Amino acid sequence: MNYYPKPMSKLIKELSKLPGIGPKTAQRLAFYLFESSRDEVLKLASAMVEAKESLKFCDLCGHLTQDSPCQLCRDQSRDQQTLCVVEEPKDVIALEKTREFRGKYHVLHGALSPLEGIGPEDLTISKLLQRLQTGEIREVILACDPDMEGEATALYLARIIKPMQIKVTRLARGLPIGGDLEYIDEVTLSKAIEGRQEI
Amino acid sequence: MGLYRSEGIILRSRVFGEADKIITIFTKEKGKIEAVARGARRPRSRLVGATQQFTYLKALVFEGKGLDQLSQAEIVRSFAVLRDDLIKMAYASWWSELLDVFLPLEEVNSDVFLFYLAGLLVLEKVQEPALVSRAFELRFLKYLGYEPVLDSCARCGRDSFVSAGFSSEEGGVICQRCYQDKPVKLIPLSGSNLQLLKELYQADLRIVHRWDLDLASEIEIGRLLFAFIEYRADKPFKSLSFLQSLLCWE
Repeated sequence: MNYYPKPMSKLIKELSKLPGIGPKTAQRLAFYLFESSRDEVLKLASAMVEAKESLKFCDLCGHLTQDSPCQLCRDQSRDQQTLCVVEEPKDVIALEKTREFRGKYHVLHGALSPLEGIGPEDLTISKLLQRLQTGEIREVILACDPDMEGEATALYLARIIKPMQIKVTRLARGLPIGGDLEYIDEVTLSKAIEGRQEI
Repeated sequence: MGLYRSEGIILRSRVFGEADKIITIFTKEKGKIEAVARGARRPRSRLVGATQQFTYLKALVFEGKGLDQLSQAEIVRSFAVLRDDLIKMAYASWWSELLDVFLPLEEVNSDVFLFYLAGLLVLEKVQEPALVSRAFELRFLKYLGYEPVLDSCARCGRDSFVSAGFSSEEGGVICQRCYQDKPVKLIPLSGSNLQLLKELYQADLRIVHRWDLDLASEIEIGRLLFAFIEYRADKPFKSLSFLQSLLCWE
């Protein structure tokens, strides 16, 4: 039995399709929207439609953009010889926030997963190889997640990129800032010892 | 409901919610279990290292109404080598999927657990894992009761026979006479490779990698066992296509 008027139950149904939103949260959000002013609701709706209609993936690097090539690819002041390979567009944002990296990016849109059956053909690896064949790139930084899928992707990419005489590096793995050594697990700690640096 | 302790090896982990994981652990005491590891995808979580694929851990699990919850975890052996080498990772993933597909939840099987643990310890050390994996696959099939018939014809049971080839449908090698009576789909198997398969049953996992094996034989017995296992499971294995793409068997 449906206890809500049709438009309300439709709204709850649509909201509960969003990731992490269960029926209770969907109900709360629906009531919040109902109680908001018409302008607020229209602003939200138009922001959603605008984002959906104007955003796409950059033809070169695969990052989220309004115009292709994206701003990062067009920027000639960036280091044209260093390419950072990431799994998702969100990772580009995370790296940009550090202001440490000034090179180019390539987004794979996923990671190799032997257990999920995600193979190289499901990622943008062929596009990456095309970019590397121009000979402009001198170093590829593999910034994949430090989990099994990320490791598989990094190892696979290193295997096919190294014969192209391009330097391949991997982001360092180790201790988080502010962490307490006694709580760090042995795998992370051994990677930190392995990658220690002289001060 | 309550807390229980168990040791086990992580067969797989799946992303769940914002920062959680659902992990499948093959434990010595309770068989295969599934548990949520809350916050295990956050870099500072105490569970992040212990919930990596193939990790052998001691776990404290809270038994919930629905899914169990991993409360504490301590690494016994991380098996990091298996995640640092692409080929070993592919083989270990294949074994994990094999156990995950064939073993039902919460069915205690400590023999298989110890055998799997021994297999991973060997896989960690060897350079050429192909024969180790074949021996593992055969021995695992035996544990499951799906042991392929190699000493006699799988259809008529005759001991002295000329083999026509291997039939997944019949569950082993079949003789020429049976094949002529009623042909079935056959997988080629040479006499020497039939002998090799028989020897692999008895072989010590720790030394089997030292055996000489040419690429053609590796491909023949590999394809045969993969086809037989997929036939028995009645489904394709995702990790197998990944493994085969790395091995370049085309």
